[in-house]
Amino acid sequence: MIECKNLLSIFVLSLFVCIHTSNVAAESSLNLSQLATPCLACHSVTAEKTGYVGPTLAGVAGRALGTDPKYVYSDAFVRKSEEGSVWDRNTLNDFLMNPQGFVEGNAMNYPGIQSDAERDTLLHWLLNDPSGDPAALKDANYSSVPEVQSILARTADVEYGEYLAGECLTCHQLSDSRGQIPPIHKLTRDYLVFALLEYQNGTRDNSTMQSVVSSLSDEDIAALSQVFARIE
Amino acid sequence: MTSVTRRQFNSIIGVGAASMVVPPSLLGQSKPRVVVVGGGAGGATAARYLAKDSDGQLDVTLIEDSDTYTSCFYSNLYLGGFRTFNSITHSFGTLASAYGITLKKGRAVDIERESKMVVMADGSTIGYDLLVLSPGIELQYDSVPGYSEEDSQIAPHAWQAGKQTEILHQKLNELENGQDIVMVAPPNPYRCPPGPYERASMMAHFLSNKGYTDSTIYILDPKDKFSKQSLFSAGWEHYYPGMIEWYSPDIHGGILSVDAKAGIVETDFDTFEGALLNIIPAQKAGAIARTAGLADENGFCPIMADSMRSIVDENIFVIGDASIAGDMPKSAFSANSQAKVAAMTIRGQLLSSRVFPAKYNNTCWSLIALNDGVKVGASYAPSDDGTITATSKFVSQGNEDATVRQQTYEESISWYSSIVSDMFG
Ligand SMILES: Cc1cc2nc3c(=O)[nH]c(=O)nc-3n(C[C@H](O)[C@H](O)[C@H](O)COP(=O)(O)OP(=O)(O)OC[C@H]3O[C@@H](n4cnc5c(N)ncnc54)[C@H](O)[C@@H]3O)c2cc1C
Repeated sequence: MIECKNLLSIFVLSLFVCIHTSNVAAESSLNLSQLATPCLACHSVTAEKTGYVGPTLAGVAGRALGTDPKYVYSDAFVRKSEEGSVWDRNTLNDFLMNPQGFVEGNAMNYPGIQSDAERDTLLHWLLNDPSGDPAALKDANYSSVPEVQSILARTADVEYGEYLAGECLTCHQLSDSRGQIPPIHKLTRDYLVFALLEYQNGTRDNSTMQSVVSSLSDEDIAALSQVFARIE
Repeated sequence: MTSVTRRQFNSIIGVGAASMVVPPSLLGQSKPRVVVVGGGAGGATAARYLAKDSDGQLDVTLIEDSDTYTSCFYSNLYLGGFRTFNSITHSFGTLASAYGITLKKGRAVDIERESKMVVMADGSTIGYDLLVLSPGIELQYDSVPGYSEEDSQIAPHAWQAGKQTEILHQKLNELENGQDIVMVAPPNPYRCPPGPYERASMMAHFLSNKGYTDSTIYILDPKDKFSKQSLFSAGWEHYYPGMIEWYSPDIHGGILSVDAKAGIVETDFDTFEGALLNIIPAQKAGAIARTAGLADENGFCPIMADSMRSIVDENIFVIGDASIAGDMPKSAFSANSQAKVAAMTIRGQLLSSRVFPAKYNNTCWSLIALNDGVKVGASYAPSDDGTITATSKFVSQGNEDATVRQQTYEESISWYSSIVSDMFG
């Protein structure tokens, strides 16, 4: 009986070269403590502390823009706040992607963060109460999310995952070119699982993705995430 | 799903060794031969996935009549001025050079199903173990009274891309302010349900950009409703007021005749005159599929929902527009999705690789105006009654804000470049 390998050739090539290094490399790029360092230079994560350059990040999720009582906002930001929006996944995402594009002339000295995965890592942190000892952050990653954990613990059927991957590749190209549809290789497995679960529970609202994930079982997600996490 | 043991890194290292174990049935024989007819959205994807995933153990031949493939998808954006003709035209070269697919240029004219051979226009034959047909559509010119294939040089359909697209583009460019366009839309089922209405949007965009807002685009439709209708109608009113008029059969009363040379479409109710006629007739499966006896009385090919295998011939798979794929619309996305199920099934049969439950997806994006994109889509699976059935659906909302519409448009740009690389490598 033939042992048929339906590995995408690119997988085969990359597996030998990259399997040991890729996860490490990718994980370090999603290291929350590293990503949050620039934030923590100016923002406190506990509401009580004063003397910080920027407003507190404590309780930022759901808070109306420009409403930390201890912080004096720039005029530009005050004007933006008058629109009445709150900090949620969308507004935080837009702000972090391009702070000056979000509020021109605001006081935050931060260029913005282009990588979707990195921005999502920060968003996850900000939306889930960023209080606590920043030093403890260095261990934080998606595998500590219980739903993610339970999928990571499953057996990943790689051959099945390779078949399922075909569904993704109609839209997600295996290249680094960045368009509105982001590349989904070169990411950590736990992040991929996390993102797919967020489409399933509606936190992420792209309708095409929501439709695609609606037919994915936990087994499917375990398989798919394993396959994409291996592609360099 | 059956459960399987975890594949460890070690077993993956074993790829090379494992694949050298050749099944006895193949010893001393040539590799199993899969022939694909048609190098479009379905066929190119099928050929590429067959070759790519079989580690060189299949002999894959792609038969294609044209030297290059100009996609119908995004050809409307070319009319609107958002794309160049070159950017929607692609070569088959990488399929041969990087995937080892044998390209056979020419037209397949018949299939000898008994002896499993494709007959080419030059009389030569190509044998297969399994055959994939993705020939797209054939236009039924005589479904529109008075219209003919010859007339399509003057009154293009542009429903098969390439030369036809160029004719329509040129005629649109030659239009003067105040001159009208008459489009005859096709009856169901046809490729790309939102296509005619995206086309009207793009032609209106092009004209209004030039300041030619005195021109009107009349759409004479044999259907009384169409895909994403409320989204298109709202967009037309907003961006192109008075420029697009859509008439359903209860308004025009039926299309009586087309005079391409005179630029006249006669309906039961009125006579429409256009400096440009865009006549899109009814459609059937590409000729080869019907000649081979694989189509039903409606002209499309019934298939098995779990594999895209023809119901008529177990050695043939029909994918893309030529197939009857249940709830799935005839789109490039659908064809690409079906190709992967067919390729997986074929490898399973010829190489004993594992076969998984079929899953299908589709999204059709349409551009209404600059940065205003909408989409409709669904996921599908075979259902108990043997048809491909939608398991979840979605469509853009009427009240979305401009940022969402822009993102939807930008998403479609990403999709185009991805599907093209998924088809052609
Ligand atoms: C204006 C317009 C806009 C569209 N927009 C979209 C869109 O945005 N998104 C989307 O998903 N779909 C879109 N579509 C639909 C899409 O183009 C088709 O559904 C898709 O191309 C179908 O793929 P296919 O493989 O069945 O056929 P095709 O892509 O047409 O491929 C068939 C190929 O087979 C070849 N061929 C046929 N017969 C033979 C033969 N006997 N011998 C040799 N070669 C042969 C042809 O030359 C052709 O290259 C659009 C269509 C139109 C007309």
